[in-house]
Amino acid sequence: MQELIYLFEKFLVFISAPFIDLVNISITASWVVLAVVVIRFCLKKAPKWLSCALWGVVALRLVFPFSLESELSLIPSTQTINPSVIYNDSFEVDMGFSAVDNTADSTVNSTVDNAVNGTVENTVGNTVNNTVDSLNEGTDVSTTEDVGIAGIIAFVWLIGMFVMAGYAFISFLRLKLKLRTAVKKEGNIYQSESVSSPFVLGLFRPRIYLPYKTDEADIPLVIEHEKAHIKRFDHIVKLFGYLLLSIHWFNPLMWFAYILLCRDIEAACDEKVIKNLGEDVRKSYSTALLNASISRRSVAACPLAFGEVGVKERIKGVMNYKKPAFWVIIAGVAVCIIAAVCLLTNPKENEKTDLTKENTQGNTTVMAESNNNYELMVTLTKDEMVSRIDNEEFFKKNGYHVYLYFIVSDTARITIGGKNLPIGEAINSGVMSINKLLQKAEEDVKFDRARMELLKDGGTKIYKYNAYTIIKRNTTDGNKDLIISAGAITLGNDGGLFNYSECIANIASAQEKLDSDIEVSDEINGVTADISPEAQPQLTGKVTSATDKVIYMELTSDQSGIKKGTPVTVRLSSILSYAPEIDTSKLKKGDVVTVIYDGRVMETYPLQIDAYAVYKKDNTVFDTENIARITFYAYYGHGKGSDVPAENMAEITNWLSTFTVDKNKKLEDIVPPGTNTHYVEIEYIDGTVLKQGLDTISVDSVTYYLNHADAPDCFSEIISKTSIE
Amino acid sequence: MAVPKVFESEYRFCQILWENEPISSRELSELCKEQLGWSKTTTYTVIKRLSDRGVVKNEKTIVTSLVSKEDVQASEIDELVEKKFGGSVPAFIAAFAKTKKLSEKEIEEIRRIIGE
Repeated sequence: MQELIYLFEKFLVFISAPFIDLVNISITASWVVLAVVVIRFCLKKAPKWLSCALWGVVALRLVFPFSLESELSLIPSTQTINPSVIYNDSFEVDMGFSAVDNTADSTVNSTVDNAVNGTVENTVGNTVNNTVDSLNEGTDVSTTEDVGIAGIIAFVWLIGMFVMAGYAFISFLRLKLKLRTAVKKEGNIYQSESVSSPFVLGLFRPRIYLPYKTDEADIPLVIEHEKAHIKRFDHIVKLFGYLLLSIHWFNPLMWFAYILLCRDIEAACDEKVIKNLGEDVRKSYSTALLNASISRRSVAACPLAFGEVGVKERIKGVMNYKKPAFWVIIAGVAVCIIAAVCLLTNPKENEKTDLTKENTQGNTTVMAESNNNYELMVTLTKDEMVSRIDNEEFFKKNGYHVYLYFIVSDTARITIGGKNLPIGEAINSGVMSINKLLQKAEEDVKFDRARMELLKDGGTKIYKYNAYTIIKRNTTDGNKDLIISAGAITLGNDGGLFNYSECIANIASAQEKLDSDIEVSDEINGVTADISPEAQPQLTGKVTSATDKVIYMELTSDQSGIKKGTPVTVRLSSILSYAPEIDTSKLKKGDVVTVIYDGRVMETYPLQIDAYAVYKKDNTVFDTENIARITFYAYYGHGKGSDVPAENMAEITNWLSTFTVDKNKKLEDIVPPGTNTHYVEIEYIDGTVLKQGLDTISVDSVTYYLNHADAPDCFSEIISKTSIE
Repeated sequence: MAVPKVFESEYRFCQILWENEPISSRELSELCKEQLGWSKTTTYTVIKRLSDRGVVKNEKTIVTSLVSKEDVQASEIDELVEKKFGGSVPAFIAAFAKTKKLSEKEIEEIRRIIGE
């Protein structure tokens, strides 16, 4: 039973998004219906088949997704209901008119809030928020959403659709049953006592059914009319229309359209008959209509009943029928074509989003460049972002640069300094400066318009708005840059969270690794940021197993007061692993890694830490196998060295194995004093001797700093025995 | 004896039966196909329905009628008079006279029938 409920819930979630799309299509088509009603009124003098053609435009709009944009479009908006309504607890409406949107939003929001069960609303909201939070904390991300109100409404819709289709189908079957004993008159014309007014039934071999009681005089006219229906394929058109109606049963305009369609079909048929038989038959035809008229009881899909539809109007139409002038037909066709263009194209979605509500609609790309050392890159999806990152020119600039990334819609606007502008323009014109943006962000946090999170590197701040996110990062390309990124969290159509953290990680790894000390000066305001390397605690251990999310290792030596061999669980979350040097899932048992973490111990037993950088042994500087002798010296090339005693060899060897090249940290031209105060000489069994400073190393004529674990206690004892002389 | 109700389509069927009885159901269904456009199953269903109602009899696949044409016609008229003329035969006749001009021959015939 639980299984069933679970499956049912999954089903509801599954149909939620397509249902919203359907509603948007229905609303779009409704605009078309309104337009067609107006146009149809103007075409009263034109042949009726033109009106029928107009309804074809409505059908096209309902069936085919149109993505052709044109300025001639009469449609206000194709996405009136934002699909994110499924996941958000707030409801956003874009009808393309700001005033309406604002009112609609606040009304609907309060209605939804009141209508929706507290559980549902909170669950949806909390699930999303919790998932985002857990992203930051490095736990596994769960991507299930609870069934929202959209899912429930979608289910109701589905039921309605089946009711309508079912009703028609059953009526059809019952009718067929009744007509079994209809007597063939000739050809495909039958008579039956169950028939109260003539109609056509049957899709592929349509038959005309007449009542027995029809007047002799009327019969040939009635047959002509029904035959005209068949020739015009009206029986198929009406069935198709009914199908569309059962899908869009919730839209009253569609019912209206269907009723008008039926009327137009009948009128067009009347016209066809009169045209074929000549205007003299008008009087007898009207009589036949009158005789066959019955009170209309329901909108039936299948039978095209002779007397069902608006008899008075039809008789009027018949009696007033005149063969339309050629120019009238031409004009009518022209009107239809224009209507088709205006109604089948989508509006250019420009200038319609008002960012003062902090609303973004979907994702698109804008790219702009500004002056003042600012570069703006606006980017869309993770893939596109990655491909732009590959464009290295952007990232290898010298001096002080500020990079700004936005992932918002190109219609996104921002209000800054009282002005409301599209984002690109805001930056280009100087109205928006990065600092002002950050100031605004801080203010928004103060007034609860946004949430702020500080990442564990101590420097990255994330400002979260409803529809976009500004991430102020510390970054790493050795050029001392401050990167400010803004990204939007949008909920993807598959229900998952758009993994912006992955994007950030990609940005970072594409650039370079975390600078360990960054000094930045923003030329306008003198903002500085500073991170010193020693603040970054690290642990070195031997891997027992690893996945892309966690490493299990045992410490290779006593470090930071923790005993050698202590098992450590190292959690890696993508947001924290800005620049993993390695694919941690490829780590094998026995690999030695150095993990840089935030210093916080998450669990004491087993020891658990959150890491944001992992370095592998390959970077280790010293080969620790087959060592014969280790000697430490003070000052490179000077004085007396101190051999490592046998009882300390293991410890010192372990410590040396934690030495890795910090490719992030290059040495400046001037070597700071105190660098390489100590150096080590290792003699291997085979006689080779390695001399190496303990602070820096040269690789390919570039000098880098070294990383290593804390020196063991015995080290100071050993060092004290060295001397300069 | 009350004559069972016969619907219009069934009446056409009975006409074929009256002209051809006694007749095997198979031959009857062939005739119905020709003249009425009915499928075999439809004919058999109608035979079953009518025999349940007591209008026809189907014994060992031979079909015969249990009521005659005149019986059915008379019953129809009774029903018509009952329903539309409140059971008044003169009203019925008067209505006739209003809509159609009766020929001498027809008036004679009517007199005869009423006399029966």
